[in-house]
Amino acid sequence: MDFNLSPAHMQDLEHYKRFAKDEIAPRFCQMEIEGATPPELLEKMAQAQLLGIPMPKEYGGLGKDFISATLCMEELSKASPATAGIINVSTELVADNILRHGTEEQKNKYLPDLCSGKVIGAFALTEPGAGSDASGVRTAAEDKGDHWLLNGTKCFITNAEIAGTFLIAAMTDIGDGKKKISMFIVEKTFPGFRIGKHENKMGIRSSSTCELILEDCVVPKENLLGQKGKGLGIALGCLDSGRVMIAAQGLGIAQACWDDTVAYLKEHAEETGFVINTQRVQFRLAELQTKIDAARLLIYRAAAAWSEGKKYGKEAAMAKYYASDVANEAARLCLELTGLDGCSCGTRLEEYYRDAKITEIYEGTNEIQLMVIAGQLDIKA
Amino acid sequence: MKTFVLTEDQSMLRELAQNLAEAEIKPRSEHVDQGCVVPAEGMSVLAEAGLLSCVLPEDQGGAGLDCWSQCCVIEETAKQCASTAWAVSENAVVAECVCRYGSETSKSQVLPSLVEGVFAAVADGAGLTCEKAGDGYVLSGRLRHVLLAEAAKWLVVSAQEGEERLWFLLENGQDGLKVEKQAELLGLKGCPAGTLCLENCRAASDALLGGGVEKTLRTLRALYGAAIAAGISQGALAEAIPYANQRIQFGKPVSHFENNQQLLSDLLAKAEAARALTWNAAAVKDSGEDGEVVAEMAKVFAADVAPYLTRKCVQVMGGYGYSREYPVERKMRDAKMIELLGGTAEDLKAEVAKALVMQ
Repeated sequence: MDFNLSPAHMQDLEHYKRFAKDEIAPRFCQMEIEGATPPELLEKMAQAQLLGIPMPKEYGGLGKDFISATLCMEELSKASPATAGIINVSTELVADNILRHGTEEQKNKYLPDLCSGKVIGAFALTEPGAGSDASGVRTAAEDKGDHWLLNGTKCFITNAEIAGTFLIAAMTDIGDGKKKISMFIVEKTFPGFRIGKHENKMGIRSSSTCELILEDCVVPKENLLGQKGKGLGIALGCLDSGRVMIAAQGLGIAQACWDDTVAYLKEHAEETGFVINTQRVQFRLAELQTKIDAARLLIYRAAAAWSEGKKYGKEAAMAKYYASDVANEAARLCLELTGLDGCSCGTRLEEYYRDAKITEIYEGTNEIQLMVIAGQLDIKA
Repeated sequence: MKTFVLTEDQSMLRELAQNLAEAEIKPRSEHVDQGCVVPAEGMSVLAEAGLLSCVLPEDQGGAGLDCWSQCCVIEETAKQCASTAWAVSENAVVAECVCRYGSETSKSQVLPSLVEGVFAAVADGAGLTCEKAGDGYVLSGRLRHVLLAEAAKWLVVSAQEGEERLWFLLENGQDGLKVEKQAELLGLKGCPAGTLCLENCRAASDALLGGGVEKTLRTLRALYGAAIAAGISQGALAEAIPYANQRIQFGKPVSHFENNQQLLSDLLAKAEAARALTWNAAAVKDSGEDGEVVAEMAKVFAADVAPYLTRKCVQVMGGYGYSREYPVERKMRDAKMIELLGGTAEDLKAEVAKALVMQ
């Protein structure tokens, strides 16, 4: 059992840290106020090859393992959780799904652009009536012989306004009057596809979250992803990897809160009457760093299992559940320790408090994580 | 559900505050928050109903009500809009401090305007100094993060004279007093913060607030802070519970899931406890005791519950809770602010420890 990162991982980490520090961190608060990710930042992320880290080289990815991907997520989340979220959706939920379930044609057509960051991906499962309960999907895909016709509304779709390639879950007829979810690859230029209402969110405001509206949206026959009727499995399967990433997002937020708070208390030591040296502050920061480290270990465990090709659904759910909880605890505590200075808009801590909350909600609420964990433990009589 | 037995008068007052807050303050609360607009209209509505600084004796323009009544008005307001509740609380704190510790000149100048709904603010942080000059004082220094600094007509400030801390009543716009605008804060956005800049600011001797004001001020701010926190918690539950009843997932309302039942019951118990402690502290004060320690304990508890509880209410509502379309995300931001204002948990616990722990 080795708890150290390999030299290769250390090198990756440095690369991600540098990118986050140079390119993202200086823009973080301004992006959140403006509510958009500047296109030039997306371009820089693409140039730095951050959108295809764990994807195979043959499709334009970097061919790195998932530990490297979580390191990227943590470092980028410190600089801007919303920006890191863009990568997660495009890489884990879209590109990785096409890699695992796509035909060779689909992979060749979509993966190089997704991995290079030329095109951003978005993943659309949630609907007004289908949140935690994915089976509540009402969007319908009708088989029109030579094409599919999609109708319905998706909501809370991350990356909606910046994405070119969407994975969309829709109900399809599987015979005998039965309907099951299938996944489709939809390009934003397909007729009948449009972006609806923009969500006004508490946090991660620089990442675009919108409704998708499908009105007789024409989708080519060959754009069904995987088998007809197997969409729910595809959707829930990719959430495992997404969950490790959200855990890493929470970890980044938590660690950044801790780092910023310690820096603040040291810098303002005199003015605050050396409160940093008091036992209550020392204990609380010690306790928080312990929890952050525990979250980190859970994440590495899940990422390692994932890299080794083992099952890691439970480990992913545990990592996500715990790290997102710690992120919220960290954000709350750190505002307490930095007071109204930390609460001032335009400071990272104020952003983190609002951003941390989403990590408990998306990619499966923490209640769903507990269902997943409980389901995989032998705890039924 | 009846949870506390109130007298008929108390029930009537509470109902009045509740109805006004629902009808007049709730509809404005989103605009107040998202536009960072001071809640002048909400204050006017409460003033017209005689609920602002209703603790003042009748001969000072008040309604001569007890502290519990004032708490109730603040709590009911906070259920709908914490920014408005903060403004109501500061108004009441300044009114009582001036009424009890101010000069006759101050009382006659300040109290009628407070009852009519002008804004007031307390600036109790460290950073100001004063020195004797003639028969008055001269104040200097800067103090950041004063909520409502710009909107307030009256400011109660503390300034250090050597080892001694003195309290003054100042009027916004008077010579030597300027307010600089400041960055928006996480919550209570309807009470924009400013930096108070005093430069040779003269305070006449009758602007001085008498000895004992600090204790009263601290007690009242803790008590009303607890009332705001208790109100935010109840307001968040009033959003999350109906939502959980109408939101169908897996074929049933999410309120039918055992986890949510257990969670929401626990939150209800915590909110009830926060309110009970607050009302108890108010009752202690109304009985004639100074009530400082119970008020501090109420604030510690209620302001600890509110951020936790609002976070859980956002969770119950999932993505919708995170959206600004619903007010719970605002309540989560406001709750965090209340935890920091009117005495932080650490400071209040240190006070409680001084009184009850260390011998």
